[in-house]
Amino acid sequence: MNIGKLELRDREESFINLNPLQTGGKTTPDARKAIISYIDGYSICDWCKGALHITTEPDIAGFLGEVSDFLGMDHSLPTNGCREAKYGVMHAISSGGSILCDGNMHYSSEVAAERAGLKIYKVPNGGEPEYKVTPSGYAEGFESIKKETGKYPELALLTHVDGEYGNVVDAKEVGKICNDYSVPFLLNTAYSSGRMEIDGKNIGADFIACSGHKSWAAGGGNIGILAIKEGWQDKVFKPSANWKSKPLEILGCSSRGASLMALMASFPYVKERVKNWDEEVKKARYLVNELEKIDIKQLGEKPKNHDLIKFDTPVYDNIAKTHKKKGYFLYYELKDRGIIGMKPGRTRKFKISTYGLSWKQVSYVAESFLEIGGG
Amino acid sequence: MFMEDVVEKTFDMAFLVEDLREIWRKTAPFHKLSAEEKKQVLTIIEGIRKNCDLISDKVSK
Repeated sequence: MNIGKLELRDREESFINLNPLQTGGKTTPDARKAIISYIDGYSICDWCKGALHITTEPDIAGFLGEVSDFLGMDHSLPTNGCREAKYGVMHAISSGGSILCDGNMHYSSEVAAERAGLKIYKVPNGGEPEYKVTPSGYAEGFESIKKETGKYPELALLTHVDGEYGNVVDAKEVGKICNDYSVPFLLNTAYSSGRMEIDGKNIGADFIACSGHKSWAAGGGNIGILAIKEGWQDKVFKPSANWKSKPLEILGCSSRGASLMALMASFPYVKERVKNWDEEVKKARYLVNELEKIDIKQLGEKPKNHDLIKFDTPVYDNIAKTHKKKGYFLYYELKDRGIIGMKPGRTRKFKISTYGLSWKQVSYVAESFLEIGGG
Repeated sequence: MFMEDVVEKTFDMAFLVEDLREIWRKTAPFHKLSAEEKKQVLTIIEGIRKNCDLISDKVSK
């Protein structure tokens, strides 16, 4: 079935989708209903009060207040995505100094820092097999930057959960170090908030960047959140000189359509689902235990504390050497079993996510991988 | 209001389709439905059918 020249996308309805980018952004029925209703351009501007964040019909202002409470922060703004939230902070803070980031940072953090004119320093990960970022690396990094430049960095960024190994870093420990050094702390929660509970005050974060389409069951476009601690409004939420209601860092109004409505519609569900995080971790650990029965090794921290799992899979790589479909055999074997989300051609290493799957589905995924591997 | 009623029924149907879609998502890839899920599907279809009939009646008058 086609929509004009576009192919119908039925991947969530017809398959089990393991793509880590997509599992936390699967929409709720209410999100899809909101998207249908608010699909037209500038649909949320019917009762504009001069800026997106003060709009009360629909109640964006009220929603942002609830989001701040949910994240344990004081003020929030909608952004066009997590990267835009990170860039907003970096741009507001930067005076051409430096930023200390974790070695597992997403490329968008690096690009944002570059665009904001910050010199990037990294806390390296510990390498194979766990690739862990150690909080104490931040103290060492601060000292090293001070020694080199004469100043501590203007900002520290931690990727709470990285998108490569799904490692969960002790953000509270990093927050404590940042507070001790008086370095503002930006926490990238693209893979954590919306999946697990986050308390920014407890963590000691000055800023939290969130991804609605990655972890808050929102779709219909890109959507993010920037939450800040009291005291940073004048700098980070500063209004335009001539347009007093328009925050500079989101160019006045950020997401002006269906994706923000989807985020709002899914929010009640998201508030509940974070309470089930332990169950999600159990599913990931179950899959790891099952797959490691054959020649497969999980990379990243052990045991798993997140649904994003990276595997080293010699078993499939060996099969690919003699299979007529070569490296593509695994993709097609899985697809034949109704499982997608793997990059076609990958057999040596790949990453998947079990987030939101039922136990029945996780069990079926494990059986399928084992069967294909001859286990 | 003639049109308002028809429009609301149209949205109601679209929303029911989303509820149906959710059942396919939860039961992918084989869609082996439990007794409860079968009941939900039939209730959704009945709702869509009622809306179709109401719109059909309205526009036929």
